[in-house]
Amino acid sequence: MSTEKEHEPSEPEMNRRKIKMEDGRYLFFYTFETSLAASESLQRDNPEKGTDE
Amino acid sequence: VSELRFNPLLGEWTATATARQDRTFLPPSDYCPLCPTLPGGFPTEIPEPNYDIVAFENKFPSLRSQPSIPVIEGTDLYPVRPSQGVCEVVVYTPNHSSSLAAEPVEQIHKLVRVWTDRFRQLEGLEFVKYVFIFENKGEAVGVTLHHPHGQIYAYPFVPAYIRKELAQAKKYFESEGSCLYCDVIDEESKYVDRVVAENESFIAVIPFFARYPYETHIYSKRHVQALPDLFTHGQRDLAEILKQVLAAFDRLFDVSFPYIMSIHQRPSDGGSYDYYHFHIEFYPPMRSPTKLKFLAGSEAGAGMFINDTLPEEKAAELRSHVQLVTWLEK
Repeated sequence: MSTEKEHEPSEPEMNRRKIKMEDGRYLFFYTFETSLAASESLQRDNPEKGTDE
Repeated sequence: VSELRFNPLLGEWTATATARQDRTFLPPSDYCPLCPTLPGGFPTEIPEPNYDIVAFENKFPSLRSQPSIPVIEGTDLYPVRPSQGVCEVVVYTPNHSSSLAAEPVEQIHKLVRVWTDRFRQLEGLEFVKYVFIFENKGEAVGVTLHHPHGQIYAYPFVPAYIRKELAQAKKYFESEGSCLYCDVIDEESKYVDRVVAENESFIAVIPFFARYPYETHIYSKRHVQALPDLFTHGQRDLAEILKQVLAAFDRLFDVSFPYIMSIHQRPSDGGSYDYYHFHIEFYPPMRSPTKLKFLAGSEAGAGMFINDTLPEEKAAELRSHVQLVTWLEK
């Protein structure tokens, strides 16, 4: 067995946004703060926690 | 019609899901339901273009969070229950013509984080007892949509294959006092010839007991039970070894290599599974550039696999196609 490194690198923030589709199903958009998708996204949400619309 | 019927002969559940007969089958790329909807274009499952990864409830699920009442009444011999659970689709990228193997390691790292988030969310549902993350890739394993994607099934019970693994791991732990998987890792590490790739946190092998020619297992070197147990460094190492193995698969026969990817984690039923060990199993159906391995009489009817190849030789072959991974984003 091995152990993880003591000093963890910092990671880009992960954003989760939930929408409800017309037929009632849910959908989650995931974006990461360093990505083009995130910079173009109009809505930002909390890392890992996400938000539910 | 969707319900769970118990098979008393094998002690396991079968889902009947007749609506799945009507699911989209190999549509032309212009009508791919997993591509983002373009302005004025065909309305797909994904209404917006700006995302890295998307997860959503399957339109043709075999399990539903609010299932219908079974159409048939169960008996003592044949129990029936509503098909309660969740079936999600995880779209790896907006790029229709890509694949997980072709994605940069940074994108695979994002996927590992999304898997972890979906696992946490789904196991929080009261009726969920097991969260199963998997991918069917290629028409050879029955894929109906080519856009790179995987799936997640959140079951209301621990499925049979996992129960069998748990029972073996528990039995071994009770008799030997150690983790079965940790001992498999030690054995494979010492033998070396079946190792395909390795980094600080993970090892990929075609195990001693492989059932398919290129059956590859990725084991966490640290004794952990599920994705949320991985630290940041472990998540990156998992992405890296996945990239190495998947890219090596594609280089083997210079084709987009079909496989079933099966992520094995502890159950989510509140029990203690310290004796179990997080790992990923790949079952590729190809045994040569032109031949497939089929599950025939002995495999399907009796449960004994016949592997026409030696794991040691196949591991050497696959290992020769493993390349270093370069991270563009640190």
